[in-house]
Amino acid sequence: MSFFIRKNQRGAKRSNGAAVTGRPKTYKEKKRLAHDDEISSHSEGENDDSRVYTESEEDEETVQEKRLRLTKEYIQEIENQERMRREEQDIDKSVIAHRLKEDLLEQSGRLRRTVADSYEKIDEALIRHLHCKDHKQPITCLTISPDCQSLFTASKDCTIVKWCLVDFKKSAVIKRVDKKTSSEVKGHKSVVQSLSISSDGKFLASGDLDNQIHIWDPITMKWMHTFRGHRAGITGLVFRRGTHTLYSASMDRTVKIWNLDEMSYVETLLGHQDAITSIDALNKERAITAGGRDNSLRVWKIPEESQLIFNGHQGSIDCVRLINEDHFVSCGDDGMLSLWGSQKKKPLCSVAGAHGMDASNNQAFWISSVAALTNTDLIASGSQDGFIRLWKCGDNFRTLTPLLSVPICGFVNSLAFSSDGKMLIAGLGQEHRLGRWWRNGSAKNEIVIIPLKQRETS
Amino acid sequence: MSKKWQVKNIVDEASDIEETEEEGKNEESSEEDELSGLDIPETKLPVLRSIHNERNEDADKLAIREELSALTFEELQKLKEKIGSKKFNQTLTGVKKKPQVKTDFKRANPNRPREISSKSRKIETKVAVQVPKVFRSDPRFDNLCGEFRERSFYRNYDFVNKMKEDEVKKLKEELREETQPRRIEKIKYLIQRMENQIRAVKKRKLEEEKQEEEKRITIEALKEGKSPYFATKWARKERDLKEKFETLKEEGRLNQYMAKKRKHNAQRDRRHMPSDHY
Repeated sequence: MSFFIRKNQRGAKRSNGAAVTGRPKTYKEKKRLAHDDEISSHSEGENDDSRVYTESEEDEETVQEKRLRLTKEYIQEIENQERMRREEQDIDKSVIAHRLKEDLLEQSGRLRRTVADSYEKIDEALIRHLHCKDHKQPITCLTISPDCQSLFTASKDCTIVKWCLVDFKKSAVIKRVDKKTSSEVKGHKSVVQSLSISSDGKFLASGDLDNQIHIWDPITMKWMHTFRGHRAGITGLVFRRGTHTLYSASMDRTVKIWNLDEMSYVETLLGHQDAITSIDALNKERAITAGGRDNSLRVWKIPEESQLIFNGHQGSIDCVRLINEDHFVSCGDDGMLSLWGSQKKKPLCSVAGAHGMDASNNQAFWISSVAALTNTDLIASGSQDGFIRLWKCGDNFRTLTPLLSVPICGFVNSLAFSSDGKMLIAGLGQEHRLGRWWRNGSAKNEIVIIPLKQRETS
Repeated sequence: MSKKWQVKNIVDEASDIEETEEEGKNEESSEEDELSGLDIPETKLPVLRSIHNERNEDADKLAIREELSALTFEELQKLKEKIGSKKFNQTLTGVKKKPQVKTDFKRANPNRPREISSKSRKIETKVAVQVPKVFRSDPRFDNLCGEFRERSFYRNYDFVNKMKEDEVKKLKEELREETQPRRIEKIKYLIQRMENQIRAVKKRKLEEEKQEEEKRITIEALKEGKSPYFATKWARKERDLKEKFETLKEEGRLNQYMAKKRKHNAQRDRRHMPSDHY
């Protein structure tokens, strides 16, 4: 019985028949995987750590045996997990097969799940609002820890607050510092515009408009390091998943790469012609940035030291998020929400005036934030029209259909899905996160947690 | 720059990053740029400072590594922080990524995104707002305007003269009602000018008529089979004088004119008379 479904799909011959794992190990397997993905970089050492390729026959036996043992353990683990989930005694082999297949696809970045249709209408009574006296000014950015236990938010009053997502209470604060506070107390002097947490929950990075990136320990909220190197304010921070590499985007039009294992600066990427407004990354050694008014989105292929340029939008591109390794969504101040594919330089699908028209100046509402549930077809966008809109990406990401709307009050400055898809968290404010063109007095500077419920499928 | 950001001196700071458009200059100066602001004393890294990125040879590599080994750990750390750990490791191990760094990025079809290097400090000269460039051409020297033909020109723009005549009338009316001295001067000047121009036009038309008359005579002569008529200068002068005499007589200014002429001629003749001064 082959757990390795790829065998039938590709009709590929296996060199060593007994080796069955979810991860491609030999060079040939990797090459076949990369065949479809035409923009992949062959230099990637994604699965480098566990590669054992020996020539001597005696060694091969023991290696194969070891692999067999590990695979059996892995499958046993999956069985136990599935058993706990389903509370059944007997587990169907197909369930495990499905799970393995999913894991494989996720590893190679080709997982696609269509879950958008299964989401029910949101019960407004279950929406939680979080306030605190440290966030008196509009929330600018937020990030959810990978285990969905804590939430980190930052606001225009230069503070960072840690919330517990179990009891929905504030657990820690990093206060604002100024000239008077001693140099031992660490904090931010100016507005914090970006936050990011690493995928193992070991580092929290925050960047402000004073060209500094502070690294904190998310559990104790203690200062670890400061990176100085940018020449202008930092507008975006993102960790590469599964690593301790930090990508930072700044208003000086550069992207800088930092290695947190050694706490050092690695390199700079140049190319944008306007201040970078947003950055995102997934598992691959790639980052995507939105370049504001130069109307370009750039995908940085870091090992190859090159960039791919995508053109679109008429106004400034304000936010970009990766949906999966090949597709991404962007929003701008022209009111457009665009879906992109990595193979085409223009958007695959664009929705103009996605949040309606502003009656006061007859222009489309600026879409200030967008979030995507990774590897699925669900997207959320936020603006100042009083709704957070959920969209479904249909049919190979070529269409965008509105799904649900959640009524909220204020400017949606930041949106994030929790990794299990159960929550959508929005950071609201009375003003836009970048400036003070409007002020909505009736709104509150708060964090809104929207529980998402999926319809039970039989 | 983006309108949203409260930027202090970003343009000045950005211009410090020596964004020149000459490629050669870029490659040469990029290493120097990166080492500027480094705390290590000048004497310590002569080869590394003077080296050009692209023209690295094995001998130079060894020299760099020797230099690096002479530095203290603190200084090494500073250097690493300045140029980035990726480049630092490359210089240490002497490995230069050749097969992966593509110099010629070709895409499969034009719908694919454009690919360029992420390391060049060259600014792409693409302007956000495209202002149409105005090309001006002087019709006198432009080949597209063709050769100048006087007769056609005058015929085409004859309507302007009619407009001038109308405007003179209007100006005269304005002059009657105008009180400001400056404005009166201007109007008088304009009227004088326009009337002069009108008179010149009329004169030119008369000349043209005369030429056409000659041509007509020639054509008729040819029709009858005789030789063409060529007018001499004296014939033309005689004809002109005759015409003048006729017009003056009609208008009654003949006596006045003759008196003036006599006086003028007398003056001229007096020049040739012997004078009393010796």
